[in-house]
Amino acid sequence: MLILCAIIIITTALISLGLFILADRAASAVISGFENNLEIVAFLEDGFNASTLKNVIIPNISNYPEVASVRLVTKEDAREELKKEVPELRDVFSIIEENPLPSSLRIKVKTPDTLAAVTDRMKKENGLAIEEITYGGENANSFLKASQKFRESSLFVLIIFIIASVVVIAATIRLTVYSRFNEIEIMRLVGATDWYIKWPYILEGIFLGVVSGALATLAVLFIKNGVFLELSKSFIFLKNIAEGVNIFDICWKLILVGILQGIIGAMFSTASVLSEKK
Amino acid sequence: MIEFSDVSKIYSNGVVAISDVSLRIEKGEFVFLIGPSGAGKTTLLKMVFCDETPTTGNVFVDGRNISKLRRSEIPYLRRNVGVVFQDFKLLDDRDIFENVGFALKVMGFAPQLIANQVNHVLEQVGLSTKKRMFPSQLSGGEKQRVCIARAIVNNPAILVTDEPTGNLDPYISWEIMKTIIDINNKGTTVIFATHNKDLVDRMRKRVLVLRDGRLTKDEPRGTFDFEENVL
Repeated sequence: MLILCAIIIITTALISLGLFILADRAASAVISGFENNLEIVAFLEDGFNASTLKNVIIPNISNYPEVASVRLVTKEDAREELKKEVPELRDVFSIIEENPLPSSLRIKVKTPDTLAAVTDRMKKENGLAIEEITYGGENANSFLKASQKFRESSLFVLIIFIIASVVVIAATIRLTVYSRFNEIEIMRLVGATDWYIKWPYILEGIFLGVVSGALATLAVLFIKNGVFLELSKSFIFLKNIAEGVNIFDICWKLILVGILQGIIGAMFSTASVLSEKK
Repeated sequence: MIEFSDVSKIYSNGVVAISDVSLRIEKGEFVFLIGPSGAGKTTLLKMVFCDETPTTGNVFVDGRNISKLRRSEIPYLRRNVGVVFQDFKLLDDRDIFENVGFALKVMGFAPQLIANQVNHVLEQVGLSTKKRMFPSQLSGGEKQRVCIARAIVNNPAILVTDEPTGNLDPYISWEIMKTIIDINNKGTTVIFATHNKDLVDRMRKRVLVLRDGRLTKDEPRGTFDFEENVL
């Protein structure tokens, strides 16, 4: 009965760990998506000097060490892009003669944290030709901060769960140790080393860890395939997570953590009992 | 050789179990340890196999100060000291063969060697026909002989017995005594703590008397006598 309680508690902690890994993957995927799409859009004034742009400004920006690429999007390019993205506007463009969309430079940087610096530099050095510079930095930054907070708070809860599991394992094994106290006493008196006495209990801890890890893997597999796939119908980024996460990658981590919990719990319980006697 | 040098033991509750005891027991010697209950006999015996450590003073076994042993070294000392208890300390869920072989198994001996050695000592204590019986199926005297067999199965240099005949009738007590004398005759040092006057008086071996933790008498061919004759 006690072993069953221990398995339930350890499994709960390991399921939390599995969900934490899944959530972390989801957050990473969203952040990665943001990062890949982050670009500086520098809208250009109508009637800009094309020669200055091609010969001076674009080469100048391309030479910034933080910049990965610079692409000129003309008014026509912008119109075609918009038609592709919003097919419903095709009719609107056929009615209006003048193209209201501005030309722009699309600049991709190598790392998202340089967006602000590159933007500032562009404004200072090339301000004359650039009307407005925008990037999704504010949204990206707030998401990064939110995901960081989520990770920290999840990690805190997770650590509490893992410590609780170790305590439960230690208490469970301690009871087994006490129930076999007579045998341990005889072992000590006939010359058994502490390690010889501890090994069976450490194996018991490992057994608890493996069983709980396997159960937690099944639960996480169910959550991934059931809950995540269902949610991915509404949140498209979850689709990649649900399909892309390798369950074996999570499985071995859960079992490993379970085993470590088992070993640490067994070591605590046997050490406290053995230390009562030489 | 066992030597106690100015040994005292005071427990954490303030009880003085052993007070300034010095004594020397030669290799192969047989010594009775007598005294009233609470005199410190068990504490003194426990110091021989490091189940207790002196508060002050030192205990030497074969010239080595065992009071200073590290925890990891104690098991190896115990493999050289057989211990027999009044309450047997047998494992009820294992048969006689397994109980005796347990000591060798703990030391990592091969199964064949364990079998040979266990059969040999069971023959020695007269229990070879009962090796597949469980402790609950044996009489008190037989249980004590199992305990002796377990204590000597790895040929220890020292045998410590704490009132091994305490719960046994006089006839069985003599059987146990004879078994232990046989072991002593093969060179094992024996310390025999007892309340059995008959055994001590008849054997006329060396007798150590403890009273209130003090060694009050040490006679080469002593009798069971608690008279005040402070050393």
